[in-house]
Amino acid sequence: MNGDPAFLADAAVATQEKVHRRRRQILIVLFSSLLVVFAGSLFLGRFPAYRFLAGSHSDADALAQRLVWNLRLPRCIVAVAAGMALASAGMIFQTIFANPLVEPGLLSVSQGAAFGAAFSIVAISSSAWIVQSCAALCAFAGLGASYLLARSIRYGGWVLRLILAGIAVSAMFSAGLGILKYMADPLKELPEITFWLLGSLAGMSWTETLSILPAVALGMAYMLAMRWRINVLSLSDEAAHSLGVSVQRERMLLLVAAVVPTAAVISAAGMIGWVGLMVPHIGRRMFGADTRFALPATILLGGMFTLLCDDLARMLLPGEIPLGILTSFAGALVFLILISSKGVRWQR
Amino acid sequence: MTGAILRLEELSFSYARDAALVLEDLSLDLPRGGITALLGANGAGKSTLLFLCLGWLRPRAGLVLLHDRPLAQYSRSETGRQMALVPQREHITFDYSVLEYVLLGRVPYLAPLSQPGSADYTIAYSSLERVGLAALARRPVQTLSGGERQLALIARALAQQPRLLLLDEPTSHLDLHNKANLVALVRALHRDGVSIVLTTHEPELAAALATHVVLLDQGRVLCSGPASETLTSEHLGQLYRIPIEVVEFAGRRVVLWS
Amino acid sequence: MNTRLPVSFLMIACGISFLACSRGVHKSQLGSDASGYTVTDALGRKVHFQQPPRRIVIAGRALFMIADALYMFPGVSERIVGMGKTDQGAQEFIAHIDPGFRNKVLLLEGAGPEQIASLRPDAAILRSDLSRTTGSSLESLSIPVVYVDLETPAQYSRDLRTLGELLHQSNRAAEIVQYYQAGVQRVRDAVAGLPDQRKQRVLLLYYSQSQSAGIFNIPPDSWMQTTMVEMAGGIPIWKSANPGKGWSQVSLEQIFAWDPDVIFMVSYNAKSADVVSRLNTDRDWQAVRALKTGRFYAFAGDFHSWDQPDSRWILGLTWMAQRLYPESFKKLDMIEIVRDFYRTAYGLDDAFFENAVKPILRGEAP
Repeated sequence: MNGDPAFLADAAVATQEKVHRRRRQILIVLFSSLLVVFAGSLFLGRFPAYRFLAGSHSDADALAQRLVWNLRLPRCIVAVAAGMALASAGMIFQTIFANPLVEPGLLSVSQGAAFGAAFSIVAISSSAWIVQSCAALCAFAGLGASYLLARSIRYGGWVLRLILAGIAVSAMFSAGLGILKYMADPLKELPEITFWLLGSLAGMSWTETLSILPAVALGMAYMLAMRWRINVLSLSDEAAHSLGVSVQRERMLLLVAAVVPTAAVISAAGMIGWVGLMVPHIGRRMFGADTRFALPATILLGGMFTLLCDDLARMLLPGEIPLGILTSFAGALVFLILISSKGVRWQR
Repeated sequence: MTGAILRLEELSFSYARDAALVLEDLSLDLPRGGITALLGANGAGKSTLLFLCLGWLRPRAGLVLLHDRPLAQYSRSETGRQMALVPQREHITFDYSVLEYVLLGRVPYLAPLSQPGSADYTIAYSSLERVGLAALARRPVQTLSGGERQLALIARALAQQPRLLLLDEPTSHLDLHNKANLVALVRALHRDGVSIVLTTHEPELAAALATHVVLLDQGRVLCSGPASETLTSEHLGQLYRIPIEVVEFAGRRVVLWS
Repeated sequence: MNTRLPVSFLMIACGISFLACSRGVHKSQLGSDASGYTVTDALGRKVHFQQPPRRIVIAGRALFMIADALYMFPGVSERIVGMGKTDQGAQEFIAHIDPGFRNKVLLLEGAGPEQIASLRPDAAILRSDLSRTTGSSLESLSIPVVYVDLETPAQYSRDLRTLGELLHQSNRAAEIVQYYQAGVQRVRDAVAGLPDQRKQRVLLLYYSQSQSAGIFNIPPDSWMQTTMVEMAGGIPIWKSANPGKGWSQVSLEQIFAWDPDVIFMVSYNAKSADVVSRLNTDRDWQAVRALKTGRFYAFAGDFHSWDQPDSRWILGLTWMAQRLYPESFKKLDMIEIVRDFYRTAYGLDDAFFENAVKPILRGEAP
């Protein structure tokens, strides 16, 4: 009876389901943590808002209320949305290019988006939709250029070629951004170049939140719906094709779903780095390589990570620290810990 | 319905638009329920032919017919349910467990937005048992040896429950023990009614396994037919351009070449 | 579990979008009171006030330019509750005219909106380049923001009037504007009728220290420095050479190529007089014609260099014109002009001038 094939299969499936149940529970824990961190962020800041909690109605507390509703709430939402968009885009990129060292920034998606947004503001229009479309267009251009350039490089493995090409194209876009900044009217057209190169969520209001929400929500909904099928796209082209997948089309759709939210976020908040590179690694460490669970985990972790970094960005000093500095710092730190700890296995 | 599960009619193919034709006017019948070996030297176009059968490569001219219907008329997932490819090797970047990896074979049966259910897991696990890897189900795929990886790839193809199994040079990286394993497995699958097409450059493998053999020489079919007819000294000598002798020994065909 | 996850995700996003829309609508409904008055600021926005603000915050870079303009209105000291910190010794001058200055909150440079809001201001005065960041955040907290430019003489008069409107001191604003216009007119009259051949070709350089060597920069065409040179009857030879909108570096080679008649050297942190004397002994620079003819001047200043769009720009203009065309300004006594400036603008007496200003007059002092 023990060797009965049906019994063994059922046992194996049962074990698998237990693993899945455990993963789902941890996902729920992650989600709850995100909510807790979110609530905490709302009530912490340079402005003492505790009196608002006490519920008195003096004029001062009207200010506190407005602060929480009109300043902190949209900013926290954008921070979470940005983290989610960037982390999930990073995971999609890493899976599709079958390369754990890839992130939207490395393939010059971020730089292209920043350039496109800046170009639109200077030369076309400041309307949110046009800026985002321009950002998305240039983001795709950057991605496409990196890909095509990688194909024409003669030496090195695919990984090396892709990264080299990405570096070259991002450098071009960064230079273009520099020129735009130099030319543009700093009073009326472009904010500081530090904003673009390092990212910042200062000045986020409901307008910006509303403008990036459709792109982010739709892109991520698609990625979440496809969260198991993404695994197939990490296989070789022939294998994926043999499995009955229209390889080019599905990869393209997923890339669109990853790049559009990224471009939207970057056009609003500048280039926030490291989130797309590092958070997917943590997600995979905790939940295994199966994107069915790793992707939702990455999304939640990305949101939490960026929110925490932004909290520090606005609370640590009286002034604003550019968000990208904190994400890079924290990201690099976590990364170092990750790669130096010997195979700490979490849920498998 | 003819006896051919897959028919190639006057297939011509080149890799680039104005490059030389790799295959020209090639016609071939791959018999239903048989084990067909595509035998040829390196660079003879075997893998190209396989990918054309799969539909991954598109021919410049000619037709590929699956069950007497042109391949183009099948939807992607339908093709995936009929045919499965076992690639020569696969680079695995992420540490999926073996079971998760084999589970990917269930893709043709799942709508794009859906997740696999317990039935799919059961089938995946059964495929693992079929190839003898059941004990390794929870191990990361990257820790498998070369032979075990090959078996995992076969298991994934089996999870597709295909009518036609395409194997690309399945034994080129395997030692003798694993080769024997693979041969036994293929024979078992054949007994279960799966049509099998495999490419190889080793006449010994074809001799051991195939019911039908197709000899390919620089993109042309030298000859094709039952193994007894095609695996002869003169045909093989013609193909490899060295003196080869095929002898019968203890009921098996043995290829002598040195 | 198939589509539950993405669908619930989309629903959360929809909910947030709805919230965002409603808050946006809510915001635009504010500010429709009937009483009070409206101020039109530099960006053309109409800002509504019930009464002159009692808790003003000034923030942003180069805020001392705003502060120096604001303090020209009497009684402003009690109304300012916080301002940012800058270099350039801004705090020294303000400490003289505002006795309670030390108690005001000195915001660090680049203070965020929350930090500013913690002072509970009822008005913020910012330069218009902050409109997209700090400004918009403060506006979303319903803190009225008045933007000023103060970049060119025309803007200076306009923004002074705006500040006058804000503080219900339009008469005082008119007074100050009149003073500035008179100063400008005096210079214009003196250099009117100068034929183009006699106009001096002027180069204004800003010296900034970077690493070991110093670099020399020219201002963009739109800035006060360029306008001042033109108003003083000179020809700014660097016009059209600056491609950007900020200080742009030039090489000594370019300076030779221009061959200016007069060079003014501005320095905000190092002492411009030191820079000038150092360059006079520099072998490369000694070949420059303007140095050889002795027309190489350190720009004058006291608390601040007089070349910037600070309240002292009128002093810079007058001083520069005198340097360029001494014959036309023989009767001009710069010391008296400076004394008169502090008297008129800030109500400071001669004692103040003797003790506080005269010792720190720098540059090619009159």
